Amino acid sequence: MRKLIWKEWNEQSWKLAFGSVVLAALAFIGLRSRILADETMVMWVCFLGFSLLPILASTGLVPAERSDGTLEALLSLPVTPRRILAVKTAIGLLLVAGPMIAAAIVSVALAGNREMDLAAMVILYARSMLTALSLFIWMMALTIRLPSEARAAMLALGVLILLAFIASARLVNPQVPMIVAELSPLSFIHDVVADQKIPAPPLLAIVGVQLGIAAVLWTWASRSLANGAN
Amino acid sequence: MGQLKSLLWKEWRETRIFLWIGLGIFLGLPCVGGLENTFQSAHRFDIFASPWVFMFGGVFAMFVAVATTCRDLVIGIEEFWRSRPVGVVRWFLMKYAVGLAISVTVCVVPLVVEWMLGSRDSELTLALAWMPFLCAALYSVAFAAGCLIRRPAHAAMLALAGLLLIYFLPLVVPPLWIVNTMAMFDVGFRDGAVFIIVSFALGMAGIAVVMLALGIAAVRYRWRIDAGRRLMYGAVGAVLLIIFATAGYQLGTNLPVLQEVHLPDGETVANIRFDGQRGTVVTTQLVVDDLGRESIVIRLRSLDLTPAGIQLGEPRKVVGRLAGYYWNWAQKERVPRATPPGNPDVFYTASIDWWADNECWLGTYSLRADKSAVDYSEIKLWSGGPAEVRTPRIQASGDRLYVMGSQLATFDITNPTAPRLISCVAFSFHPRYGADATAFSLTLPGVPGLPAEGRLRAATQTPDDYYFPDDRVLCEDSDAGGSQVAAWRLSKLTDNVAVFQPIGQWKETFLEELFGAETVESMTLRDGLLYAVPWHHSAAKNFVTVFDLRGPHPLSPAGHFGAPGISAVCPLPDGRALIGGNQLWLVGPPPTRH
Repeated sequence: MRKLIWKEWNEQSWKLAFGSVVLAALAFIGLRSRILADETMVMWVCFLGFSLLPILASTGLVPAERSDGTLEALLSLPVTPRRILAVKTAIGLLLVAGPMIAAAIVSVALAGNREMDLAAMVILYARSMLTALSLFIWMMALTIRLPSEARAAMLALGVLILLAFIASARLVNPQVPMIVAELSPLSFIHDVVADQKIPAPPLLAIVGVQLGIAAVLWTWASRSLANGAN
Repeated sequence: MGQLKSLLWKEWRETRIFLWIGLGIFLGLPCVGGLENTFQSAHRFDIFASPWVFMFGGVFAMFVAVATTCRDLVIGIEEFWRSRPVGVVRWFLMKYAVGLAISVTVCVVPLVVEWMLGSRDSELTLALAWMPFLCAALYSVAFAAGCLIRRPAHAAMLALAGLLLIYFLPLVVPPLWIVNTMAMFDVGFRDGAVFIIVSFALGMAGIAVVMLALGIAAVRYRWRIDAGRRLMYGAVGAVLLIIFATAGYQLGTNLPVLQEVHLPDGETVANIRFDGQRGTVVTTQLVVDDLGRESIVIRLRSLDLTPAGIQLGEPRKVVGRLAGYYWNWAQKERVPRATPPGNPDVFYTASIDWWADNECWLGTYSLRADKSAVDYSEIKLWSGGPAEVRTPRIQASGDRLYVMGSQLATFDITNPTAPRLISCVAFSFHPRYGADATAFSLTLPGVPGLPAEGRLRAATQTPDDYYFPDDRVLCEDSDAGGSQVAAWRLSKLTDNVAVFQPIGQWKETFLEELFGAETVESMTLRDGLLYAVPWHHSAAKNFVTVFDLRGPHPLSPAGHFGAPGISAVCPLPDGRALIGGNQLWLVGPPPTRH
């Protein structure tokens, strides 16, 4: 198990560094130069984070390994596919959360309580991180069977767009039941983008629904991987 | 010669498809648009190919170069061609030449057609001189990328990164000014345009030669970059950061913030009046009640500037007519008004009711001595007549008030709070200004009794013009084709004519348009520093641009200050300024006055 973790870390750590540097640098440049309002800048950084990081992380785990031809060798090792997927998932979650945390630290240090309340800034980053983590699980599970990184990226983008539509259903028609919006991880940031007149789904409800969905998706993904090994 | 001819034939056969595609996009699509325009509105065939060429010409050249190189550098095909009795250098030089000819043709021919069909715009004429060199440089960068990487998708991404660097790096690295592509789009407005174009052409030609040499050497000596994920991600990420850093360098706030005064959530500064020591800040707040009805709450705060900094007094909510008084006052110079000499608490406005037969009304606001209420009265001036395009001009001089619209109404304001109509006669005035910041003469309206200076102020009393009598400077803002500011200095004023000489012109760059504020809402000038305040409804991207009119580059931005909700600027005598938005800031002058 430790060797598996070391192997995944060795292969993916550059992405963690890349994502952290780029996202934190964007936040630093934007907030330092005050090219945009602080709230707008933070929202842009969060948007880039939760839209690009899950795609970057999910496509580089299983599809990339399959296109490189090393997945079969990995699955032939005396390690259950479930464990392999668990390690990959953990690394993927780190790839998503790490850059967001780095950007949040930079933003708080530079512009906390300047134009934007510190608590509001932290909450925005936290909600964006939850969105990104949920999106990662969706994308990883749905792209696990694809043979190449490019196709996985295309599908992941499609998943993002579809989930955005689902999350915005209530914005277009407030009669849509709240459970529909809770199906999409983008509901975590409903309060940020939506009109105050349209109530957001409760946070705990979204967390509960997303955890349930994540459990189902992850189980399905591990079975897909195991079937691929067989 | 036979060998060259064969190579030429081969390359032409393989690459000509790009010529047809390029001409179809850059010439065919604009022609379709021109035909549509002819039948729908203009009744004259015009094409506008230049936007397409300027935006996508470089990308097209890049794709041609990548396709041309990577096609024959695939494993197997490359070895086949190397086994032929053809020199590698000759082979690739022919590739380069054919691809370059196609790229330049696709970029230049549509511009020539647009020029010939009548759009003899000076910028387009100059673009015909520098565009081929830009195209050659971008093509050469992609050519080198293709020779080094040999995989089309990866080479295209690296070439795209190179393209973005060529466009944006010169903006932040001053020694690279000669290859500043963004500056070429308004080179006609600059002094020494020919020298700038020649320098640009030489710079781009130099880039093209270096990249060509690199590409040829890469093929000759079998150099290759193993382009993996890290290189692609790194290249794209690095370019993204460089572009953003460029924008931050150009547009970032560089006015030193000396003090920030927080306002309650939702309150925004609407206007600041300050005499150097004391003043008043007017704030507005949009309030929504339980029934969803919106209203604006206006508050006043006293403003004191002490050695310790700004001190704001307690807020005082104003309602009714008093709110209307300060609301009008907060509209600043956008609403023409006049104040009787020696009575700053009285002002007059003229308005047209277009729905009621073009009735013109004079409104008189008079703030009571204890500032607790305002008296308001209205006088109907005229109705009927031709539709008035603009709000009437209004000027006060001595004990006379003049309202100039389709008629000229003259009032006796010996008692400022009760203007008495003396006469109302037919009137017509249609001033003409200069174009493109050239010198011009402005005919003054014929208003008996109003001095030339007052008539000049009346003539320039329009939403887009700002005349600063203390500096004798006239500024104009325009949002046609992007935000623009032009400035002139009054050189001669006679009884009938005012002559203005140009100071300069500013047109927002691509980056400023991408990140910048909306059009200029108002301008204020003090001590040679011109502050352009953005349209405040764009709360997200909102910054003040400061121009130094006394330097060698008068209408080049000397300072920026960005913050949400900026709506008011009040320059102070010592070079500092008060800027009001969702907070109140005391800022210093721009760091370098030219």
